[in-house]
Order: sequence, then C-alpha cells, then structure tokens
Amino acid sequence: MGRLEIKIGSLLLSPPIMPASGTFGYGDEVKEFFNYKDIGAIVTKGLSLKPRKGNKMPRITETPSGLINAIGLENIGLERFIKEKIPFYRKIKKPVIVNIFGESLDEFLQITERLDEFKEISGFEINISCPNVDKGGIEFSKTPDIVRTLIKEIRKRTKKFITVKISPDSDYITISKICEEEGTDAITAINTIRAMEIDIHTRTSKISRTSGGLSGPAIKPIALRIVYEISRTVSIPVIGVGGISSWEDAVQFFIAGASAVQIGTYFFVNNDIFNEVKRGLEEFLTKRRTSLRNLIGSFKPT
Amino acid sequence: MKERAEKSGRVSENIKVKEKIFLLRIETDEKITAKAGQFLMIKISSPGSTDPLLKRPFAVFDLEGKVLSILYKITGRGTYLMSLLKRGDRIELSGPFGNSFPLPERKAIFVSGGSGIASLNFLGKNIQKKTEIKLYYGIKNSQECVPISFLSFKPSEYLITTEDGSLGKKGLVTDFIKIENGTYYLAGPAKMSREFHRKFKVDAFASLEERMACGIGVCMGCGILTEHGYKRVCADGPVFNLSQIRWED
Repeated sequence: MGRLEIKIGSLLLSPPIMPASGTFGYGDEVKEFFNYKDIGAIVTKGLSLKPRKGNKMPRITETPSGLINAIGLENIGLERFIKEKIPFYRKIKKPVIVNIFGESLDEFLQITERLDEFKEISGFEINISCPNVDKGGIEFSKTPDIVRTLIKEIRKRTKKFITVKISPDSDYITISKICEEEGTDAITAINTIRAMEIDIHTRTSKISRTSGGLSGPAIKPIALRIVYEISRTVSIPVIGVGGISSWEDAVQFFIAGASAVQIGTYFFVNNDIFNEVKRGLEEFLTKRRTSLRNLIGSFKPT
Repeated sequence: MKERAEKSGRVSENIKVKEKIFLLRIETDEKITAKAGQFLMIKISSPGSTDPLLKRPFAVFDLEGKVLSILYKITGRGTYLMSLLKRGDRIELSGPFGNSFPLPERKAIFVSGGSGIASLNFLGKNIQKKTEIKLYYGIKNSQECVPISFLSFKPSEYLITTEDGSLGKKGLVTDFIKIENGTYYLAGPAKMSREFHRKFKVDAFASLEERMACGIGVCMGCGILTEHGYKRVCADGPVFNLSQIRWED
C-alpha cells in the first residue's frame, strides 16, 4: 500500500483527502485549473430527486475565521446530474461519492436505486444533517428510528460505499451507533454547526434565513472533538471534516481517529489546499517514519 | 499542465484616491492575463491568517504585464484592512475568474454606479483605440468621484451625477441617460441596473455585484435570478445580458 492510501469499505482513497460536499460543486466546475490527483474522491453537492432552487440571497455571511451559509441545497436534480455530470466522471477516473438528499424516505431510495446502476458512482454520502432546508435534512436526525429505517432501506438497495453525514446539532453518538448497526461503511462528521448573525441596523438576519450553518477554521476544534468521540464509540471508519485549513489540521484529525478527511470552506480561500495538505501529510509521515495507519487514532489521552 | 488559479504578489503601492477610495497596485510573481469584466479573488489577511477568512472579489481596474491595479472603496472591515496594506506586503490572490464584456459594435456607452467604474475602466482601455466611448458616471457625492484624468481611457463625452448634488448633476445616473445607438455597458449596484432596465428596456451588458464565498462556481452563494433560474454571478457572470435578469424583491 502506498503511503497515502486507505481503503474504507470498497472505496480506495488515494490520497485520503476529499472535498466536503457543497464546496466543490459537482467537480467539473474547477476542471480548468484543478488537479484531480490531489484528491482521493469527488464528493458532490447534495443531490435531490427533483431540481431545487435553493434559498434567496443573501445566502452567505462571513464571521471571524468562519462562514455562515444557507444555500438551501440548490441543485440540478437527479436526471440532469445523470445526463450532464456522469460523462465527466468517466473521464477523470476518480471515485465519485454522491451526497444524496431527500425530503422523504422514498426520495432517498429512488436516487439510490437509479444511481446504483452507474459504475462511475462509487458510493453515497447520506445527508441527514443539512441545517438550511425546511423539510428533510437535519429534521431526520431528530428521530433516530427514522434514521435507522432510512439507512436500512438504502443499504438494501446498494452494495456501493455508504457514509452518513452527521450533524453536530444532533445526538451524533446514538446516530453513529445506528449507522454501524445498519451496515454503513463510514460516518462523515461533521456537517456545519447551526449559527446566526444579526444586522444591528435592520435587526434581521444577515442571511435570508434566521440561521444557517457555520463552517471554516472557527469550527475545527469542535469538529475534532466530535470526530474523536465518534471514533471511540464505533468501529467503522470516520471521515473527519470541519474547518481544516492546513496539513497540520488534517494530521490532528487523523490522530483523533479519522481515517480520511474532507476539506470544505478553506478550498475557497486557497485553491491549492488539497495539494498542500497532501504534500504536508506525506512529509510528516516520512519525517516521523510512520504510516498513515499508525497515525490514525493514535491520540494519547491524558 | 493546467494554469493554477492561485497567484501571489507584492503590494507596490496603495494610494488614497479619495477619502474612502483607494488604488491598490500589486506586482504579481507571474504574469496574469485577464479580459475586461473578469475579476480576481484577493486575500486581505496575511498569508496563513484566517481572519478575514474569505478572499474578496475585485474587478481588474488595470493590468499591464505584472502590474495589477484594483480600485476599491472602503465599505466594511475587509476593505478597511485592505487600505492598511503597505508597499512590500505579500499578497495572495487567485483568478482571473468569470466571463467578460463582449466587444461593442460601434459606439460604447458606459453607465457606471459607485465602484462600477473599476471594471469599465479596463474595458475602456482595451477598446478606446477602435471605439468612441461615452461615460455616465454616477456616485453618491463628490468624495466618491475618481477624477476622469485618473482613468485609463478618454471618454469622448462624460456626465457626472451625484445623489447629493455636490458634483455634476444632482440625482441618480439613470435620471440623465438619453438613449442613443450604441452598446450599453452597465457596472454598479444591482439597483442601478434594475432601474436602467425598468426605465429604458434597451439591451445592455451589466456587470453585477454579489457577496461571494468561492468565486469559482462551486458554493452557490452568489445567485442571480434569470429567466433560466438562478445563475452564479461568479461563474455564469459577472456580465449578464440585462434582459435575462428577473429582479427579485
């Protein structure tokens, strides 16, 4: 096995670094300048059965070292995705994980069944944690029994890789256990943290919804702690995500127990971040004469 | 090899043009080529710092070899910190991104609101040899007016308007436009383009402004409603055909 290679379920990630859903579009938007060798897989923007228009503007506001967004899952819908994006995935020869979103169980299942036919799709990231929609999203996470049914039914319909994206605003320990029991290959932790900003002149929200999801370096210590807690609770791999802005941050997530990492908001700040994290991680392992496998979960509790 | 989006450079000067208007000159480490209407994402905080976190989009005011000029107005914390940049400071940027202004058929008529003059300046510079340019230049007050002599092109005619009447005609720039034959180029706040469309209903290319997070078409943060649904100001624009826009309340 190469130094920066990890297998999670049926998915081979080389390097174990991916974009976070919603921060990389469908992946083809950046083809003019992006080197796809810098990531182990593409993770798409949340995809729903029918196209979604998303929320009104403004959808974003900056906070100290952070970003609050309420995009509202604007996306092109399943059929256009198949027609317009899958041919691109055939060309770039990288695993593709489709982040899937539904307002109902049935919508999740229809997307899974349809995309299961395509060899260009390596797996699914089940989105039960989006804070920016009225139906579906984080609402699912409030009822563990619904999460169980959802995962059980999706698992029945595909043998491909499945990870579940977890909200920090949910009972993530209970949900992680359910994921493991129902046979998901991994857990992606964390989604954005619910947050708000007020315009003091108008006394209204700075974005078009009362609250949105906070991402960026501001949330990194919280994400790290949750990744640590989940990885100690379950034995399936955890994909760590939340505020990574340097290779050192990524190393912290591996030490905390992540088997792979995702980078989101910081890709906006530095379009070379994946390459920098990949190189930094590689050099760190070489200098320390250790392997990625030995690094994962090597935290020494006090 | 693909050309990387990430670029870097050093501040060569940061000149105060008016009370809140500055011209930032950056000497880039490598030569950048851009078309008029395109923008760059500029990181205001020093390399490695995460506050302010996001890069900010700025139109190219001028570009000559490795010398990039950005005209900006202090409107918030980011641009305030930008005004403190000093000669020699390292600066990270990326781009150019977005589409560009189509070329005019004959005469070009510029309608500029506020900082919109920044993107029209580069267009003016590029087309002035072949095209006559008329400029309508609207700002809030005389303190926001960049002197015409400061621009990189010479308009054949120009009209300055201020909201408070402290310079030129008093009122909105759209109050004084006399429609004639030519290609209209609009750059400025959305409400100016909207008013232009409501009043005149003539074809125009409008460069739009919207808050951006990524600048590269992946985050869906900067939508503008068009006849084909939301489009991304950063990647589908920033230049749009005015008639395609569906203004939201």
